[in-house]
Amino acid sequence: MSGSLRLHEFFLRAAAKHPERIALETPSGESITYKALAQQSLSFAQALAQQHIGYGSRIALLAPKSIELVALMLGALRSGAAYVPLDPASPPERVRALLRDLDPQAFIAAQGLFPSEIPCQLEELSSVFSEKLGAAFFPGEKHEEDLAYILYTSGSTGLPKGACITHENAARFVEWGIETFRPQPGTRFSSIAPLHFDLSVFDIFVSLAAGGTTLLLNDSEVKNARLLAQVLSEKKINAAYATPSTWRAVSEFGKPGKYDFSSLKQILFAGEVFSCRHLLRLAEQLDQRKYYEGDPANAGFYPQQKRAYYNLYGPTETNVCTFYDLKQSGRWDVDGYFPIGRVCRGASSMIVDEQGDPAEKGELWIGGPQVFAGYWKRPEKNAEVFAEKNGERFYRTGDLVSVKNNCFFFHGRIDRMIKKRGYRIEPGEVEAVLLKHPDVLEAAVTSAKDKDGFDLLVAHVAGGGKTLEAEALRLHCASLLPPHMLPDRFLLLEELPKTASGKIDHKGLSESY
Amino acid sequence: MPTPDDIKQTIRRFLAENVLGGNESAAISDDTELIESRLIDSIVALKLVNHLEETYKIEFEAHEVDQENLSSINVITAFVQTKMK
Repeated sequence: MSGSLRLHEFFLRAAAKHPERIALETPSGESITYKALAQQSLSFAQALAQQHIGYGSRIALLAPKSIELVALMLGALRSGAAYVPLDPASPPERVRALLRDLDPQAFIAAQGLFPSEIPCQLEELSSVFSEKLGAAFFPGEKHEEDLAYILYTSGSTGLPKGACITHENAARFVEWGIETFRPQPGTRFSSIAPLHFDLSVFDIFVSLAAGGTTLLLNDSEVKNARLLAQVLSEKKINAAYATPSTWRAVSEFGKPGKYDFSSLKQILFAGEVFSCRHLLRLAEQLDQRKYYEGDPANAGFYPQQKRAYYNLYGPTETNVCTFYDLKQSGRWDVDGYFPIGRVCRGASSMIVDEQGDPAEKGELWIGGPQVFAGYWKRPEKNAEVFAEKNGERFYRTGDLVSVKNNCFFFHGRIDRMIKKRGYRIEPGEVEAVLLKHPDVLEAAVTSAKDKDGFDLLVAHVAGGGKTLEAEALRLHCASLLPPHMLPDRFLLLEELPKTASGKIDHKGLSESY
Repeated sequence: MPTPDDIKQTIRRFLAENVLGGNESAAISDDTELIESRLIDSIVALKLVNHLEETYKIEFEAHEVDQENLSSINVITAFVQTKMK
């Protein structure tokens, strides 16, 4: 075990061993070697140090994924700072709110993405940073913990919350990734998830720890499932990690049957439930053969011959904490779901009922060195999500699970949190935005499926006598929320259904759609 | 050979079913920005492409499933027409 390594040191160790290997690539043919990436990240670290960025600093990043941005993340870590990737598709108002919350020492953004009204002088670091990135520096107070990165996730009270991940948390995850998936020097990874999503930590840091090569993909390749299928095949990717929704888009719309996927040996997914039926369809298309001919009772499917499939589970706050290798299941039950599997080595777990007592089925609590340090400046929220049992600190996941033979099964949430295409959405955050509209009196947000089973976010809105227009509400939300949190449907009602005690009846709402 | 109006009608019907909750009279003009205004997201765009391919027996190349070719009803219609030539 190399428990003392910090997140970027895994990369530096690999760079010393494999200086001439390609570390990062883009679909358009750009690439950088380990040696050059080490040099570039060092230049960034030095430039940041000159601006008094160091241990305890936070660097907010707002730019499309690129080789330079990853070099900057590594440079931030080498300077001692934590990197904080923000969603480049966020509207400016949300970026400003996040910057107010984060109080960073540096904000580095693609030139076109700098929101107006940032209370600072914009300095361009043209000598070290490229023409594409601008930077602003602030005096903000430094934190005390050894943070590697902060990822903002949806917050139930209306503001996103920053999950603070320490170097130790991140290092344990990288070690687990190496031990479990055994990447070799030259293994080719794809980076499909955006950098503000925790799946990206695997794509970038596990690959760079192993001497692998990561192909950096942006929205234009990922959201166009046909291009994604083509790129994964033509760039001979060996290990690809994405949400089930992304894999489903590849299988339903990507025409994977046109391409050769013989290089693709490991398919990883996380973020939401992948039904066996949809996964089987993906396997059939990638392998170009039929496993399932219609009668689940008689069929035996063994789609593991050509590649391995892994179901990973874990909130941002713990990163992956359980995982399931699908070859354990032998036959795939077409109408079923896969378990989330066993707890990762080093982590501890408890299933707890509403009274806080151990139970067969209940909320999953996770303990161990990968449990995050807490939410940035949210003492009340931290008091809520952390629990202590027998002297050990646990994170309460809010996920309802059961266990059989040490294998965990996921049964949904104990609260109202929604998953839309793998993204966490707290309905309260979207409702708070809806309620900011002057004509909205009541709002409730639920999830639904379209006729093909893809997630939809539904806003139920009442104006209490005022006439509401769906398009006006949509534009209002689009000005304040990132794309994945924008409701897909607006149901305009006189008033929302209530429970006997006069509260909004959320259960009634879900059923009414 | 379908006329531009036929193609527009196909697109409008699809949007009504998949985006506007069955409300075909909703205020989308032939030039309304569909993707930039976030009226349709990536899944809906991919479904629309599949629907147009099946309806008109055409095929979009991977790189053609792009905002450039899907930005408005007029743009999509023109693109479908070039594909049918």
